[in-house]
Amino acid sequence: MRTMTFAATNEIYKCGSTNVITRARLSHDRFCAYSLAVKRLIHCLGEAISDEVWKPIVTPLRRYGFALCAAPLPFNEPSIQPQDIGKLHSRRDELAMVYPAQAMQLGNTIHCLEALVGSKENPYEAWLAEAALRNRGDGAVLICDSRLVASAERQLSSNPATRRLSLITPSQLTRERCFDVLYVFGAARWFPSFIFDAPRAKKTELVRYGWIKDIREPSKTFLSAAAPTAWAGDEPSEHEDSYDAGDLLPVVDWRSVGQKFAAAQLQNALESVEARLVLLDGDRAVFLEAADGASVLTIDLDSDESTERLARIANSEVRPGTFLLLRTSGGGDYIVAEADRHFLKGRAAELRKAQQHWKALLRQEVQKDGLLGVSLRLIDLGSSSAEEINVRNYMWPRSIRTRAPEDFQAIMRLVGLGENWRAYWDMMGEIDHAHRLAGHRIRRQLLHTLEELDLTELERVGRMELTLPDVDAGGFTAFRVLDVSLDTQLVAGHGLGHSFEL
Amino acid sequence: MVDRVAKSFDLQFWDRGQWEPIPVWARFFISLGAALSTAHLPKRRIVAALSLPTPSFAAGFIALGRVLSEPISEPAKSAVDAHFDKLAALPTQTPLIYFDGAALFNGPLTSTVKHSGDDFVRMAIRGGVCMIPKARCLLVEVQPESQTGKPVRLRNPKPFEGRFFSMVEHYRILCSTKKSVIIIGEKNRLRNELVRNQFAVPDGIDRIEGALQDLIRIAKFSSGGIGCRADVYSRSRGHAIQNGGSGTESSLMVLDGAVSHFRWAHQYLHCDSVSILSRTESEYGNAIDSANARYLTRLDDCSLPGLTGPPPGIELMVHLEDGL
Repeated sequence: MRTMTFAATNEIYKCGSTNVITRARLSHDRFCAYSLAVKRLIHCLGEAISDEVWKPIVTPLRRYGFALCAAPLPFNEPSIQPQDIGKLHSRRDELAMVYPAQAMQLGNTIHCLEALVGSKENPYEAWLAEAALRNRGDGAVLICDSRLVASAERQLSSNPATRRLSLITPSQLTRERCFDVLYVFGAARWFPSFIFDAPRAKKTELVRYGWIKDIREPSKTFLSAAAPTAWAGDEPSEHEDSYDAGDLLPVVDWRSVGQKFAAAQLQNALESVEARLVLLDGDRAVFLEAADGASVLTIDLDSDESTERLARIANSEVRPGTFLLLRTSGGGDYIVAEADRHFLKGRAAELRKAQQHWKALLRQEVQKDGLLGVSLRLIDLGSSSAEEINVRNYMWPRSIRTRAPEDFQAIMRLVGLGENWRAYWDMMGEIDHAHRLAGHRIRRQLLHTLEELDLTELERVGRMELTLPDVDAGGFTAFRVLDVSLDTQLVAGHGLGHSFEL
Repeated sequence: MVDRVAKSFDLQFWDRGQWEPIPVWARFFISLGAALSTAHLPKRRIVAALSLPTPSFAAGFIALGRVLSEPISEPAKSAVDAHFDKLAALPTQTPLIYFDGAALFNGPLTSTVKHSGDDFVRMAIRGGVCMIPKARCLLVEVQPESQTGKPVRLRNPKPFEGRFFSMVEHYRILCSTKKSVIIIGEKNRLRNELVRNQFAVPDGIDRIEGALQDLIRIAKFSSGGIGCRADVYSRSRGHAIQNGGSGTESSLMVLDGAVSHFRWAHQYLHCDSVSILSRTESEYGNAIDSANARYLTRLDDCSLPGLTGPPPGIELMVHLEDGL
């Protein structure tokens, strides 16, 4: 929970009224040459940059350049290195026939990379060490990309001058803690505007490389307010050739990647569901069902009771900043695995077989008559909730039984199991009960695990793995939601809730 | 300015080992809450929006200003009738307490009677019988069991409250069912701010400590649920807002956060409202757009009497709309 004291709140207002922003620009000829070479390569490629041929080559080159612009890392930092340079040469040779101009530009870029990638130099860190000596008090280093936290932190701790500085990401600055000085690495436009409009430091020192052109969009303000003071933006670039901060940011078109992913998974339209794509921290995404009533497990960092920390919320409530808890290892459905092993035990095989049997028969009917046809027949057989969307849901392997027995009886009659409908209803009831018990068991385990974890780390890096030692459910990962697609699309039911890499 | 509001400017908070006067931003929120009371117009609705660096304590101090600035009126007849019926239904000899405006008395209930067309509560006090007119029955309460066996002086104002409210005002508040402020926001955070954070008022060379809750009296954070002048609702749940029998017409709706703003700003169109938008919220930009869109459809701009411009870090936009 945000246990904000009045004194801490007052510090925030003090920071807001006294905050001073200073800017520093660093130069480094070889890194500048590399960055501009990447820029020219991208320009030269034009729309071909999204081709499968070029994407695996250009993306790591962009990421490497961006990482060095966004965090105090040395040029030879292993965690950000692009692929093997020998392989890059080979790829350039392969592409030279089809893309001669682009391959030549790639050659230039590789040349610049070779001049840089082995160097231990770290201009940002050198600047930071000097700044940290100059500024006394409580200081923090702010970087925009949570994936760079671990390597940047290692770097800071290896230097006595910077060891005392905290390394933070923007979401941590929504809280109460204030600093004497905040060192912000990279372009201002890479950060949410509250970093500058609701500062949590008395002094903000922005540092970036001189060739990065940084123009921040004006902050949103009330119409009745006086015209906002212009962002004291950029002095003219000292480099004739500059790189716009917005273009430097490696942007993944996550929506189109998601659509391709969904299309690849979707084999049977009958087992598809409407879902919304959700972008997660760490270049991952997940589809969440769009239907009313669909819900997802989340971690609420603001809850003051530990039992409230794990909350199931409606999928429609998921928004940027929510932390989703998704199963990321173990395969299949963890509730099913847990229910079978601990509660259904010896009955599991028979009950699951029955569950699959009636669903298979229903699917056959739908294939024969279509969703509408089956829906109408179910109504004739006495069902009161036989809308097409419900029929689709009944076929889904994860659903167990209908809410009302009359609806279930109608389905059983339709598929030729009318005489045994009560036995099936009871068997599905056993499964339903076991699922509830399994859900409670996993929830207890998760709460226990969450109590032992430092969740500030989750807030800082945007993702955290959780392993439940006594549960067969496998591993879970908590992810911060970065964005939620407004549109819905059809995806395979089994793909829901499983995160995938972009 | 109401005397109580002026007194609240003397509140102090604990900072680095000493008591300090509350800063200008907190006073601004108190003034805003008070000014919204003063500026209230029949058949009009005041819509205010605030842009802040943090949501903390804004709703609490606005509510404080509102509650302190409102006149403390005689209780409604419906509340008197309901309370009299409750007392009449009690068994005789039920221990009661009665506040006569100056002192507190205790004794058993003997009966309720009608005399010359008027209803009375009869209560045995100091060997005699006291006839308390129905109009004053809200000053009669059931005395809870005392652990020591001695009579309990109930619900006298705490010293902290006593700096703001007289005994008569305090007892009128206890009898009131009207909620002056409804806050929709993060319940847990609000509880922490209003209940757990201590403030003080100077008392000679000493200080008297208390929490904002002692003055605002939020029903959700109160154990007795009597005399509550405000309430808090979670921003995330679908719920109907209750306000005793008095409706929400004269309540100020404080929408604490962008989520509350989106979900509730277009409901309760008969109430004045304040949306608190923190620049740290992920939906801040959209919320500002929404507030601006609404401002464009305003009936008129609205000036709030006695309110000076907001201090650094705070932006305020206020307009008038047709009330329902």
